[in-house]
Formats: sequence, C-alpha cells, structure tokens
Amino acid sequence: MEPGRPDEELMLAYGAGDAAAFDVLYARHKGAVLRYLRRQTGNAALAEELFQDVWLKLIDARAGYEPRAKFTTWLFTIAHNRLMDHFRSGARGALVSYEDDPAEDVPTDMPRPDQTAERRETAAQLLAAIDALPVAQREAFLLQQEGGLSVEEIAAATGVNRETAKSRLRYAMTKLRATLREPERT
Amino acid sequence: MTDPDLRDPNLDRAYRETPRDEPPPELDERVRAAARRAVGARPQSLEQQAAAERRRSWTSRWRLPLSIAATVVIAATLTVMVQEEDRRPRDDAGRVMERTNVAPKVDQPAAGSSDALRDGPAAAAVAPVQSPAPAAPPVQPSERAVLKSAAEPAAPQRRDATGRLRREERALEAEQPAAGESKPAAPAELEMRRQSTAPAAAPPLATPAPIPPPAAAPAPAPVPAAQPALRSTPQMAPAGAAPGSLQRDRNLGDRPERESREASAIRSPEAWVEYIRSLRAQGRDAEATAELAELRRAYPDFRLPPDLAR
Repeated sequence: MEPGRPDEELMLAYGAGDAAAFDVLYARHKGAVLRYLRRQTGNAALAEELFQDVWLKLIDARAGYEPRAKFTTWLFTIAHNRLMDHFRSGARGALVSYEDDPAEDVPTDMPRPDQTAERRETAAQLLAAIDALPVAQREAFLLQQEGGLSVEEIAAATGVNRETAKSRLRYAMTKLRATLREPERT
Repeated sequence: MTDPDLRDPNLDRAYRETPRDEPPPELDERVRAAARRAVGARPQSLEQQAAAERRRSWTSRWRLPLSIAATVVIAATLTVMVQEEDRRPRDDAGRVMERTNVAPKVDQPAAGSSDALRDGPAAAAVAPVQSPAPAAPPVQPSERAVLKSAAEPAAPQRRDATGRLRREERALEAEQPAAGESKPAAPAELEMRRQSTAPAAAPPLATPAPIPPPAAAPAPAPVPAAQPALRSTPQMAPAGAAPGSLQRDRNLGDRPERESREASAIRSPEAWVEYIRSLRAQGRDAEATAELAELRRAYPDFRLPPDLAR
C-alpha cells in the first residue's frame, strides 16, 4: 500500500491490473462520494445504490482512463451523471429544481439553528440548510466541500460553464452563511 | 477559487463537523470484489493483501540485483571453464615438447642438410646418416595423438630409434653409388653413428616407424674403400663447414668400443649375419671372426647360417 501515490497514478495502475491500487483509491474517496450522493438524494438506501453504480462505472471505465484532469473531477463527474440519470428517471421531483437557479430562491422555511445548541447541533442545522438548497446550488457546494473541487472543476464535473458554477456556489454559500449567522444574532 | 466569496473558513469548519458518513462494510466488499473481478485478481483479505504487497515489494526490490548477480556468476564460471579447457591441452602439449627438446640439437635437420650441400658429394653422402628421421610437427593435429605419444614409455622411443637407425642405414647405402669416389660407410662406423644418435634421437612426437623385417634389411655394400672415406669425412670438411657437424663426427670417432658392442646388441642377428658376410667378402676375415664371436655371444640361441657356421 502506498498512500502517498497520487490518485491519477493509482487509477492508471488499476487500469493496468493492479487491484490493490483500486483499494487505495476507494478508501480515499468512498466517504465523499457517499455523502455527496446521500445529501443529494436524501435517501441512504438510494445513495448506497447509486454509490455502487458510480464505482462500477469507474471500474468499467478503467481501461480508457486518461489523467487529463484531477481524478476527483472525473470521479464526481461520474457521480453527477449517475445522479442526473436517477433524477431524469423521475424518481425524485428535484430534477426540475436542478434546472432552476433563481437568485431569490432562498427558502423561507429554512430551519433556524438553536442559539444555545452545541456545535454539533449547528452542524445538524447546516445539514438541514444544505438539504433546503436547490439541487444545483447544493451540488456545487457539496462538490466543493466533499470533492475539494475548484469552480472550474465544478463546472467541468457538472457540465456547465465556469460562471454558472460560480453563481451556483456563491448563492449556496450566501444562504448557508445566513444560516450560520442566525444564532449569533438571536 | 481565487474569489474570496467562494471560500468561507467558518462554513468549511462547520461543514467538517457534520457526520462523516461511510458506506457499510458489505457495500465496501461488494465494490472491492467487483474491482478485483474486473482485473482478474483473486479475492484477498486485507492481511493477505498486505502480505502480497510485502512479497511483491521484496521481489521487485531484489529482482534486478539478483538477476545481475546470477548473470555475472554464470558468465564468470563459463569463462573459467573455457580457459581451463584451453589451458589443459596446451599444458599437455607443452610437457610433450619439453621432453622432446631434452634431446640435444645434434640432429638438427636443417644444419645437416646445409652442411651436406656445402661439403660436396662426400659430405652429402654423410649428411643423411646424421640427419634424423623427419621430425613430426611440434603439435600433432590431433591432441589425442599428442597425449598418447606423450604417455608412451621409453620402450617405444627405443623402438623408434632403432627404426630410425635402419632408415639411416638405408639412406647411407642409397647415397653410396651417387657418391662416386666415396666409399660406403663401414658397418662398424654405422654402429658408432648409431650409438651417437640413438640416445639423443627418438622424437616422441613422431609416429614410430615400423621396424622392417630382418630379411628386408639391406646388406651394406661390400666396398672396402668406403670406410676410410667416411672416416676421413670430418677432416675433409672445408673450413666453412658447420662446427657442429665436425664435432659430431669427432665424437663419433671417439666412441668407446664398449658402446659399439652394446649398440650391436640392438642390431638384429640377420643384419649382423649380413654384415659378417660382407666382411668376409671383403677379405676381412679377422674382423668377420670377431663379429661372429660377438654375434654368438649376443644371440647364443641364434642358429647361424651354414656358411657362417663353418
């Protein structure tokens, strides 16, 4: 096991037949992918199903992998595509709101965190606020937090231009900051 | 990412405190199994994977040095073996050559032949007597033959010397008619020459010449004048003659009689009988009688021909 090896090198090694390289990659990124899917779908079982599909797609695509971009960008692109396929299948009505990206779409019924709650409670409120975000904004934020992607990489993973990705991320952060400030004001 | 509005440390810290969900172990195993199946690897536990990784790292680390070391060892071994193979026959041949070179250089064929050419017909008549049988090349084409001849004891060498002496006799007799005024060498003189050459000759590398049957041994030509001519050959040699040639002939004249007698023992009784006949034919009855007595002493069981038994 070589934890210091870059993701791209590990993926190439796996494409060449090194099963151990896949194990390293999987251990590194399984949690981020699962959280991305779970917080996008709101369903643990569905998220696990999609999670497995994402990794199976990666396994199938191993031979054609070329390190033209960061591995995480490629990985979350697969996850995004799988998620969109799920949304397009009509399993969840969130697909419509994914296309919507209104600037004034700040949910009024966003749960307010308790001013006296511990940080853990703040985190839970943050999760609730994230869940209340529009899908596209939420995805941009999750890709930034879980995948460590830049704006450009978010744009590449979600198939939009940089300005769109930047706008989505900015809106999401504005709303979440407001959620975090609420307890301080009260 | 350069836009500060797109990164908020407080937000990042708050998000990091949210639950860090992980997939259940069974899901992990399913995904890993699918990944292994895809590349044809056998399912392994984590401990097995770690052990395999250690083995792989050890082999990958030592594969190249071990390969190089093995190659060097094999190459060195082969080189040493080849050198040993080359050296062994050469050593054997060298030992054979040393034995051969122990013989004095009296029998240098080149010197003898050149002396004969310079000394004129008389010397030419003597030269073949002194020149030994054609020497074999230093190394036989077959190393096996070299080793065989080197391993042979002194007996074959003695037989070879005897055969050479016979050839010398024949050569001397063949030269006598061509020599004209030169007289054929007396058998006694031949005996002396035989004594001088026999110990030194016997080149071991030469294939032993077959000993001709006694009946085929040519009788010396009964020309009495040949003996003095041969005896005077050293004195007749010009001043420019090779000193080795002169010294050889002087040494021949100084041979003790005992050696001559001993040498006569080598001669076959048939040849001896022919010699005695030639002496009688020349009227040298006293010498013939002495030779006959010597023959009887050397070969007491030899049945003398009727003409000599009288």
